[in-house]
Amino acid sequence: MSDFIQEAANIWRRRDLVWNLALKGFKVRYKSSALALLWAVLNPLLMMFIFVAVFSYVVRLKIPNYPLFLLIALIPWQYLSHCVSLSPTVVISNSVLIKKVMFPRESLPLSLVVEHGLSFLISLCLLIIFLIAYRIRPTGWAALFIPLALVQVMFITGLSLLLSSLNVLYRDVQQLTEVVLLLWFYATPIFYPISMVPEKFQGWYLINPMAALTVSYRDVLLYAKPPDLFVVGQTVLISLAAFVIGWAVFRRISPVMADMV
Amino acid sequence: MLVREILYAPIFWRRTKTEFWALRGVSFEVGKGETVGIIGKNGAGKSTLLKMLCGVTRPTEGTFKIEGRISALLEIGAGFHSELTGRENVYLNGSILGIPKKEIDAKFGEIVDFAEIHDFIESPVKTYSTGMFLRLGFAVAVNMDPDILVIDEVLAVGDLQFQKKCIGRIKEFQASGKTILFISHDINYIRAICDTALYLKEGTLVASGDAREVVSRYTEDLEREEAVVSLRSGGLEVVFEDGKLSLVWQGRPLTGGPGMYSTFLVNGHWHESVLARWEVIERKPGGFMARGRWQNLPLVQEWSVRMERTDFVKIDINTEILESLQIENASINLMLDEGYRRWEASGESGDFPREFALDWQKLKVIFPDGGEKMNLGVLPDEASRAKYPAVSFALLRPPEGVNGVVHNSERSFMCRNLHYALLLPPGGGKIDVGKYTFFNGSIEIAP
Repeated sequence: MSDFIQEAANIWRRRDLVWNLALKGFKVRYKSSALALLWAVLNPLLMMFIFVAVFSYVVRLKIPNYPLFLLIALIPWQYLSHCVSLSPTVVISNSVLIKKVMFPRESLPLSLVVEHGLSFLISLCLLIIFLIAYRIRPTGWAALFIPLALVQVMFITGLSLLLSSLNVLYRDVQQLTEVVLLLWFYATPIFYPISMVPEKFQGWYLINPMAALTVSYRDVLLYAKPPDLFVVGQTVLISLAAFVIGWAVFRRISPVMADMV
Repeated sequence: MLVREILYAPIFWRRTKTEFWALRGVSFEVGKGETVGIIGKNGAGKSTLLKMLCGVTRPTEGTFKIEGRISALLEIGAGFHSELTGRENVYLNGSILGIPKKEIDAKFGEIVDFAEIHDFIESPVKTYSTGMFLRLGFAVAVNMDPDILVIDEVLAVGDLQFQKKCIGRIKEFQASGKTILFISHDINYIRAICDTALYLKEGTLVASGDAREVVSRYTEDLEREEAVVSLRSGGLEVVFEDGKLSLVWQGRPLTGGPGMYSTFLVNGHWHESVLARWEVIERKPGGFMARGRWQNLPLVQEWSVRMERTDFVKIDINTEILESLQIENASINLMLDEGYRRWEASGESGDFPREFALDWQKLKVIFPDGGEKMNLGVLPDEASRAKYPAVSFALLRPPEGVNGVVHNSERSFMCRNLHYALLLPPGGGKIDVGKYTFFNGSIEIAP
């Protein structure tokens, strides 16, 4: 345990590294494009329009404020989806660094979470504009969005640590995540309401932290009501477990990374 | 336990599957302020050793202990991103190496000065020349003010200009009492800057101790298989290694830096023989022939070296041009130890300045006088007569348009330089495809 604390302190000391790597990823993504950082806003905006257009006009569901309903779920989903699909390669694509420089290896997946966290924040700002445009008046419950989002960050961090290290041993992981992500997208009530899931399956269904979080985000932002405490509690535990397991696995594999990337 | 087994199994399974000991049973100790060279062929375990010392990989068995802050330079510019500017990369690289931002702020000017990229610091690194890139990478790594500096074969990637710059910086480190571990293929550098050396062979330590002794043990081994030749006769040893020839007299190097090498100026860039790919094509008692293919020029040289007497080395060099080429300057250099105090050129002589200046100093220029040969030489002074025999570097049957120059090198090289150059019209002369005589000459030692 003291090992863990020491290591956590070590990573905390090097937090500037995580931040700089995240910033680098962010900058590099937009550097050579003519519109540069504008893309950081334009990209999610266009994405939102496409999703809203497709799901509003093609998949016609009778849900009030459907574009908002969709975006509240879609934005957090995209955060997870970006991190999960990029994590498996974040260590192996930095093989030169891993082989030649000693630094806390955790900073690679962590920087990915931070980097896409920045995109997440930008998208959230857009979401707020949409909320205002739809004249949704936020209540006090909306403040719960922040702790809920932090639970999601913890969950994503765990997954990123797990996937980035496991993929060093088995490159199959990166293939698998693509498929699993697709399945996961449909298993999360993003473009449909949870009420469409048969009641008897809902307990199982909500074990999926993304399903539970999506439902809770809608509760606090759109429906101005508290989230289901049991579901939230369960999600916190699962996310914590994901974080601990992810980190433990990463720590187990990181000493041999230089030999295997 | 299942999760545990799943996680453990692959690691063990892969390990046993490809069991190979890169390094085993190697023990040594390095004192504070020592400079230790690590030599050995590719795959001998040199890099693995350094990687373990800086924590990149862990030893399967055994331990080591390090006291002090260690900075490793295993690869120049590892972690540089081509899209980012020089400045952004300096800060990013610094933070990867664990240098606090404040420290980088303080050293930033020094780093930019060393890298000589003032005007380009805000440009993306992808626009940099190789030299700029290497200098910047080197500067960041050595400026973190470590107690122990670990350098893995990074000089080999740059040209002589870069190498001597780095060596200068390494010497500053040495002077400030830091500990240095230094891998180099270049035995001359090991001989010149290291106190002691470790010789690794197939993962074991075969020799350690005084750098010069370990190096000569290594060259003996190398000679049998690689592009290295060592000729010995009397007290003189002539060592050829990858496009440079060095002279050792009774265990003491007479040449400095790269020794004798040839170089071509094309398009404003020097292309030295040390950067060519060499192979020894013929060996016989007292002589050898080596062939080197320049990597960035359509050019091949053949060096034929014969030790005709114990004090006389005959050198014949041919150049083959594979595609016609604009050459601005073609020259051959002999770099000699700073222990030499006087020069000699076609009968005239003079003193080398005591101090090395910031730039190369031209001391004497000679032209062909219609005679059979041109001669440049260096002499010891009274005090160093016992250690340094006089060396003369002669050009036989000099063609028109050649000159011979005596230089005092700039400060970081700290060498005396004898040099023959072919003067070509400004902008370069077009050289057609064909075989040319580049140099017929000799090096003579007079104890």
